[in-house]
Amino acid sequence: MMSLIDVCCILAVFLALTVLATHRIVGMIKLFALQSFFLSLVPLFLHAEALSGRDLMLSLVTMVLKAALVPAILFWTIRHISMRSEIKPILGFGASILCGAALIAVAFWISLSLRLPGKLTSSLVLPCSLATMLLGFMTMVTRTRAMTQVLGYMVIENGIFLFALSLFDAMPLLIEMGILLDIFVAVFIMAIVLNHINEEFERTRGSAVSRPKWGESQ
Amino acid sequence: METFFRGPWQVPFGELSLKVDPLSLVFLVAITILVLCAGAYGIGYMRPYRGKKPLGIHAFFYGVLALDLVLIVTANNAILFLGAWELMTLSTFFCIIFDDEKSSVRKAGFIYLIASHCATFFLFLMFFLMARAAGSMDFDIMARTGFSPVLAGIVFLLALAGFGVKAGFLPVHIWLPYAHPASPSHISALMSGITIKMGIYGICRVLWIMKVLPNWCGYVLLMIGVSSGIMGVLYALGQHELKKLLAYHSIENIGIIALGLGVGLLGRSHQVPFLAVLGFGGGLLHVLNHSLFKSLLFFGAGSVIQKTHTGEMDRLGGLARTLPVTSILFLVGALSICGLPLFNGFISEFIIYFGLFQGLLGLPVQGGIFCSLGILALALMGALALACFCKVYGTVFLGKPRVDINGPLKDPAARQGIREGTSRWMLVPMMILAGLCVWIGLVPRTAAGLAFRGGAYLTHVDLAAVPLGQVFTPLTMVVRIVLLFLALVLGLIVVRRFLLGGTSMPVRETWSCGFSQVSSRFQYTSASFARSIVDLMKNVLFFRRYGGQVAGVFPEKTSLVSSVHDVSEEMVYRPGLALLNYISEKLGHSRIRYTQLYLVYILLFLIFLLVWKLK
Repeated sequence: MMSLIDVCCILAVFLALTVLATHRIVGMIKLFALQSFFLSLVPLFLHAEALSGRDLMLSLVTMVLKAALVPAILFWTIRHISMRSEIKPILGFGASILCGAALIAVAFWISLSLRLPGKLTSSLVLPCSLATMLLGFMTMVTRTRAMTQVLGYMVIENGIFLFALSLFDAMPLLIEMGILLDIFVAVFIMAIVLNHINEEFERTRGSAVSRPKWGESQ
Repeated sequence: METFFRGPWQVPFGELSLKVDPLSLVFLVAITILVLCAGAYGIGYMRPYRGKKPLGIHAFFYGVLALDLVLIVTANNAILFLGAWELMTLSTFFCIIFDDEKSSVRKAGFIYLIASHCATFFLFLMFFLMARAAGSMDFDIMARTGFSPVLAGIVFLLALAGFGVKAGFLPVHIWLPYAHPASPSHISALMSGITIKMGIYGICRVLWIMKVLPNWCGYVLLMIGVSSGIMGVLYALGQHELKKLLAYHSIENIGIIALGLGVGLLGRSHQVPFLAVLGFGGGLLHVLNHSLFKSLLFFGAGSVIQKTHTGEMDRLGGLARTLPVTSILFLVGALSICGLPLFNGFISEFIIYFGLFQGLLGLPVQGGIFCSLGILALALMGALALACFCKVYGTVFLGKPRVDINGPLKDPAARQGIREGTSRWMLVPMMILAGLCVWIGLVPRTAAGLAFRGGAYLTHVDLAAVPLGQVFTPLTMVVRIVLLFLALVLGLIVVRRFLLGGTSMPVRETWSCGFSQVSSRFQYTSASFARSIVDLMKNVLFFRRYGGQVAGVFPEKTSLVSSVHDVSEEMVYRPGLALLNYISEKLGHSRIRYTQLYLVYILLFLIFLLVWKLK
């Protein structure tokens, strides 16, 4: 049982790293769906002795929501707004992998001294969740398109889900709130579609000419 | 002495705890008088706007402001105090930007808002430091705590920085000359009369909580008072706009108050209770007095502006004919602010003088040196204030209307004018304030007693143990002599009338100087009146003059522009801002997109926090 959770955790980090290094949006969505699928399996292995209804429910809802619904919406979005599939990342393939590796190291180093309430089911859950979050953040940093930002955000969200699982018994309702976050993401994607943000978020930078003088309001 | 009210409040560390003590009583009296008078004045002042602007919003924020002022001086809990403080800042901001369609008004409002919020940062820091040492956010529990000298010094400096911005101490005063001319007159009066005094109240409250402060604190406060006072009145001399001039006078008077508090602090830290009560009492009495006469002056300026639609002194003149009642009431305010006997400004300045002389005798050598410096500075301030108000009254109310300058007074209806024509709603509050000024000036016992009780409360001594008769005896003597002198002058006038009989003296033009064709341009302008003094002080002032030199027997047409600039604004804030702009521009020229750059900052900061807190 324990080893299965560990496998899921390591797969989550590995897939997050792959998302970071992938340059095609379709590929990123597929990888994200795979990661969500593995994560939704984790609740099933949480309690070794018996499978509670809550575990089952959680696993099922997460799987439907993250591994099926959100990727489906994303694919639909891509078709709908005819987005170019190639993207120009700020960091190249090699550099992304190197940065990602450094972030994973940082995550493991930090989690050594992080004390949590409650007993952890596996010693790998905590560092892996931190690493997933940081890698998702890195994805947001290195990509410029609205769609890739959403994907990076959802990888972070997966990391948060894993983190919440480690506190499954200590803090009730944490995961349920995470599911609410998923629904928020779904709405977020809908907003992108509706507002036709098919390229990137607008640059919010004024020109130097119109810079107001001291004390002047614009 | 103290009255408490405690109620439940669902805020962490907060408690709805109110307290009235002799210190807050002084401020409460000033708030009550001023809020009522300014409100009544505002009804008259806002009448022309009726139907054109949403006055209800303005009235709402005025009410919120009044409530907050009371809450600030009665709050006994740091969280409650800070909440009321922020609410006061916001409601004042909305009152200032009443004329928000003008960009200068919006600019003034934003300068005020930014300055106030920067200052509040220091206040949060200060209260948290105090609360950490005392283990409670309640002021009365803090007051029972002994603070270490280092912490007391840090808290004192933070209080100066945080409350000093609101009060308008010298290097951090720059919002004042912008905000006062921009706001409606009753709001300027309330701001100058009370809102900036909240800074003084805050400092007093900190002085009360910190029973033992290091010796240097008193000297620092004294020197801040001296520099704010002198520079404030010098800047005021160089101004051409009526309300801006009055705003700089507020800085001067805040300097006098700080001088008084500094003397009191010196007395308290050197264990001379009489000196401490004199200094604190004089400072607190000046708080009350200044709020009375300064709001009177702002009301007068408001009447002038409502009548002529300008505050530029070089376009006004001869208003004593068109606004006779206002001009007399303005004169009362001007005499009070100059600190002349028979008016209230004299009483508080006399008490501070008395305290300074006591300090000269009773303090160790360095204290004596600083006290003599304070005496000289106070005398200089008084003389310069007198010169300044001669200039104001001379240019605005005396002389002739400057009709041949393209001013708003050009139309004959405004020049001849219906006499006065100021609404009763505006005149009655001014009369009340003028009456209070004269009353305190003639019978100072009640108001001074109130202030001395506050002073004794700040010193933590019993008022009965202080020989206050020593102050009142010479004070009443001066008032008596001046009354006698006044009677003598009046008697001489009566004798002159009697001797002249029915023959009337010929009336000549003012400033005619032997010319037959007199133009109103011959009159002294505000700049030319102040020029001799400003020229003397040009080493400390930022005085600029362009043109104006005539040459030859038949000189050509020429023009002159002169202005006095604020040194701290020109030398500190503008270059500092330019530097900040330069740095941020350099940082902005990065190849990474903006959103991504911010995300990188967040990521790095997140990692930094995690590493810093966990390792």
